[in-house]
Amino acid sequence: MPVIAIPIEELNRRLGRDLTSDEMEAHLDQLGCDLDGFAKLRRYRCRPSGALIELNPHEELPGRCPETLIEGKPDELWEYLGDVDVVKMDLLPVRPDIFDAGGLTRAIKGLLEVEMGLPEYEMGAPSLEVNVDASVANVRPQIGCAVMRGLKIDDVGLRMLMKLQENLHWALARDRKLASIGVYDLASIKGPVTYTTVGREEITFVPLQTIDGKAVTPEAILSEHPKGVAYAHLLKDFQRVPLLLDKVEQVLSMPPIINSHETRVTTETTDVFIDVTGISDRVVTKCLHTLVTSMLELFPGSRAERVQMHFPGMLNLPESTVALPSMATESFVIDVEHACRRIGIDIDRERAIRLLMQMRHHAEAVEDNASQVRVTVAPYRNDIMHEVDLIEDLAIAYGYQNIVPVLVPNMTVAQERPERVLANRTRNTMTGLGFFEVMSLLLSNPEEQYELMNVEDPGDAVLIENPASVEQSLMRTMVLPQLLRLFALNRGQGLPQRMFEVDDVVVFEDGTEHPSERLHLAGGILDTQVGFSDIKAITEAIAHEIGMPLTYQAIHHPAFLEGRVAQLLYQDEPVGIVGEVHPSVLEKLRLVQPLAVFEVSLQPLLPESDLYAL
Amino acid sequence: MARQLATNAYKVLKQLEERGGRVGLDELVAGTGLDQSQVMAVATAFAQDGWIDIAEEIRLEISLDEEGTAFLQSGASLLERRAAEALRTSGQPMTTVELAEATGTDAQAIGKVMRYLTAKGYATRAGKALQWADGADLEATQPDESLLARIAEAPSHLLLLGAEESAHAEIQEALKGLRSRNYLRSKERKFRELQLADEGKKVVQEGFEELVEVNQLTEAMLLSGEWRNVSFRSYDVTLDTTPTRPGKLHPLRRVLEETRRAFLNLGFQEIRGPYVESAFWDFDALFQPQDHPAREMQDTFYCERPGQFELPDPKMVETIRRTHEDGGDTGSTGWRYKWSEQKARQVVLRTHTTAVTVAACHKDPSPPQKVFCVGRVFRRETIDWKHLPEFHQVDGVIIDKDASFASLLGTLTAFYKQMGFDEVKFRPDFFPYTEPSVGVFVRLPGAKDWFELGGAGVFRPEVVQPAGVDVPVLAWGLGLERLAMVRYQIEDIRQLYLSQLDWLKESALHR
Repeated sequence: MPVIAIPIEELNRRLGRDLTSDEMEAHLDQLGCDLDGFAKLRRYRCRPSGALIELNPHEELPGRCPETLIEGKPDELWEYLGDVDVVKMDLLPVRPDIFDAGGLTRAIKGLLEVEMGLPEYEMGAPSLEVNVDASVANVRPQIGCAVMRGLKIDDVGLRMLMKLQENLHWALARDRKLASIGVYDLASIKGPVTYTTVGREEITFVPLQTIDGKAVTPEAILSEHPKGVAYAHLLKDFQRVPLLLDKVEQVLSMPPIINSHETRVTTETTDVFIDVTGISDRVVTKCLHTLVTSMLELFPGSRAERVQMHFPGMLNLPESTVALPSMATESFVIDVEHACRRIGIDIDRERAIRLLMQMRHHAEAVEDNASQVRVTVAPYRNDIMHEVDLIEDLAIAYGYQNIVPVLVPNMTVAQERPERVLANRTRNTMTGLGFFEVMSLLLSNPEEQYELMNVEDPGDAVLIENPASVEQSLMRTMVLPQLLRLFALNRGQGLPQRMFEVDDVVVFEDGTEHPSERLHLAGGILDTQVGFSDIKAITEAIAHEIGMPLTYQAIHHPAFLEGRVAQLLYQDEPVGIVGEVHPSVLEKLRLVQPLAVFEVSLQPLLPESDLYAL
Repeated sequence: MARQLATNAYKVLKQLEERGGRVGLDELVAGTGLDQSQVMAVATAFAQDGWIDIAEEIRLEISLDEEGTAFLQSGASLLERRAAEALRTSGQPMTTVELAEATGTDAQAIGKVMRYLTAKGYATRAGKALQWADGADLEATQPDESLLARIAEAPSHLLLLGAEESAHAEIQEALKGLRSRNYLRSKERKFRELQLADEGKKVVQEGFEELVEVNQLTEAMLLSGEWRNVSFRSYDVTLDTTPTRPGKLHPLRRVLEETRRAFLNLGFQEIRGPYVESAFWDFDALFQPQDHPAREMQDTFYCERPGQFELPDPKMVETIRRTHEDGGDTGSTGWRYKWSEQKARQVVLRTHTTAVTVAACHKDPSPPQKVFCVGRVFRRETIDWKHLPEFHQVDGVIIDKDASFASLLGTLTAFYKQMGFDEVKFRPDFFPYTEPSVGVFVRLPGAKDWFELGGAGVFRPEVVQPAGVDVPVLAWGLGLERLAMVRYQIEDIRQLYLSQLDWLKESALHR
């Protein structure tokens, strides 16, 4: 999860008071932020481009500006501006509206009762138009736009704006897949703007973050530009790529990859044009609303303005013209009595209304009902789908620490699973016999399960389609191979060694839909002198204690010494194996003492499996 | 009745008695066959009882050096005596060369004894020659000669001189000469002597006998009754022994078992579910949208064999589909996307035991119920000190008309208290299938840092209404490896699955 750093000065300035770090921590905790702590960051300015970076004190200065990709000697490239006190926390994907100084201030003001209820954001009438071409339908059909004016963007503001976009890309937009944001200097654009597609070699433009300032084709960007390479997968299925152009065919951007250099935002910029394109209508709208409202909080004195959007007939929708962003709010009715029962607190409707207002919702009593409250939710909230989501907000405002923990009053009777009872009885027997329990992973691999044991793959293991490592590519069908590995890992830890494991194996048989899970016991003794009768005695002890009379039948098995290996039978059915491990296996494990082992399935003692009853 | 003494004491006292009540330590060692430390242990005990006195004296031990050994072997007399005899016989002054010739040696050897010829008064100087000294007494034995004679007779040619004698000027002089001529060596030795005191003499007079002492009580002794006639050697009960450890459960198992016991103690029924499960039960039934990052191949193990599972009863599947798409009958807006049956059929290794508890709600939705499941779950992680591709969780649900978020907090507090964590902290958290949701933190007694051990919440209506539950359902999923790591103060999660015997042996059950 990305860690974000919010400058404390920016917070306090907006809050109009100086919170102590304890107060700050308490508020962030109450909102559910995963606080990483308070820190001092060193702020530097890139001399050629003016871009800011903030580094931890121990971090080295980079030899390349991450924003402009300009390279240079670190000492010459960067100008030290001073230290910034920040609060660091993990970014929560469900609340991207509180992970910039503006949005977080808005939330804390509510908790402090400085400002309560729904924040009002005025939207000016459209002065810019955007035409959407039907060719985007199959590539990246969704788009929403906005204009903002009267921004005073200094270099710190520029950095905050960039971080805000990054956070939204990560938290809401699945790293630009569902939606991506572009912000441009409005002064450099001549409306109307067109959202369309072009062939990969059809045009050229100068993208951001190029050093030589050369105009290149979309194809060249996707194969050579760092941002193009990083996000090329999002366009790999399409011949034509999305593009935003203005009236004079100047390129604004190639979503979701990169903006043009010409239209970039600088510290001179006062008015901006914003676009959010994507494949999910819901996410595009949420990104746009969160971005615009957070910017209004971040840049006091700024104004937002709608954009007139002309959509063609596409995606089964008729041709339409709408002014975006809609800034539509949603309303829910919650029942305070029900909410109190669900949370386990006792508050009246007035208190509930006040708490919801603290969470920056609008709340008002429903006239003809004594218990209901109508709640209006701000357009930047992405996590309210149901009454219960507002009940959670109510509980958060009330404070989890103020809820008195109780137990449910109704009596229920405890009951253990029979597999666990049997497993524990078996473990008790083994520890009583002086064995140490080991635990290994259920995930294993063919080399361990078959090659080590000198056998062919019988084809009865559950196979993983996307293993993270070749070491874990299937579910084990036997415990013994891993037990042998553990003996190898314990080389040199004294003798004798007595180890066992009681746990599940998973066996998948052709013709059945579901694999079977079986409880197995495996054990072994490694010593300078140990043999078949030593380990057979252990299996007999187990059989006696758990009530599983076993018979023994000589067999061949390539992992065991010929003539010193027996199959275990229970009620005439094979249930396991016991014997002296073959020297060829010991050599593979680089063990230099004899090892006698056994494995037995305890499954016959258990009731028929009901694992896949549904 | 004669006094009974333990074997060593008996031997020492016996020697003292036989040797007239006064014996040197060395002689005692030789006489008793014990080693010196054993004899001294007895002597110290005797001295404490006032039976003996221990006298200590510095003695001079004189032994033969190279020249002395050759001298004794040759059987000749000292060279200066032989030279003196030659002078007396000739009556004339003789040069060293003449003397060498007369004594069968060389001039150099004569040169070395010249000073003894004069010092012992055998000869006088006559220019470069020597002359017999009138009145010299060749018959008298010189002190160095008598010292050599005593050594020749001493046992092993070792001569011990008491402090008084060794301080005598004549002995000192002789010793000095013989040492410088490499005839003798000498060193000082501490010499102890045991002497019976009055109390000891009394014991001896009254008679004493050996008490038989044994190491081991044997079956034969018990059968014969012989044990009555023996005494058992006392041991040093403080000495360390070879470490021994009982066979025991793996430390992680102990945490898993304590977890089970805690929930059983709270009246919960144990359930289980499969490791290999359809995405339907692992995700869809929990209202986790099909494009949720947790469902991506990056994070979840999908199975190649078996590739897909059939979905349950079509009516239930239809309810889940509608809940995802537009909320269905749950009053929710839903996720507003097109739900795919194909995606739900995919087979995964369960990513949480919540897959088991949510299936339990569908199996039996009737309240009141409290169920829990301890089991392994799988996440697509590469192994490092913080991550394993599988680990254990405990999931539980309470289905109860009187259940509330407060009783969720109460249940979790009670659980962690049973696990030995008195301090529990709750903080808002966010999960797709619970609302309100909470993160659970614990702290070791006296520690500063909080550890997050899991998440909990009240199941969303989108989760429980399709199962036919119309009362609150409290749910939680807590990581147990994390808990074990906090408990055993382990930094590296891999340690739990390496099963190093040294660690297994030394990890005490009480921890």
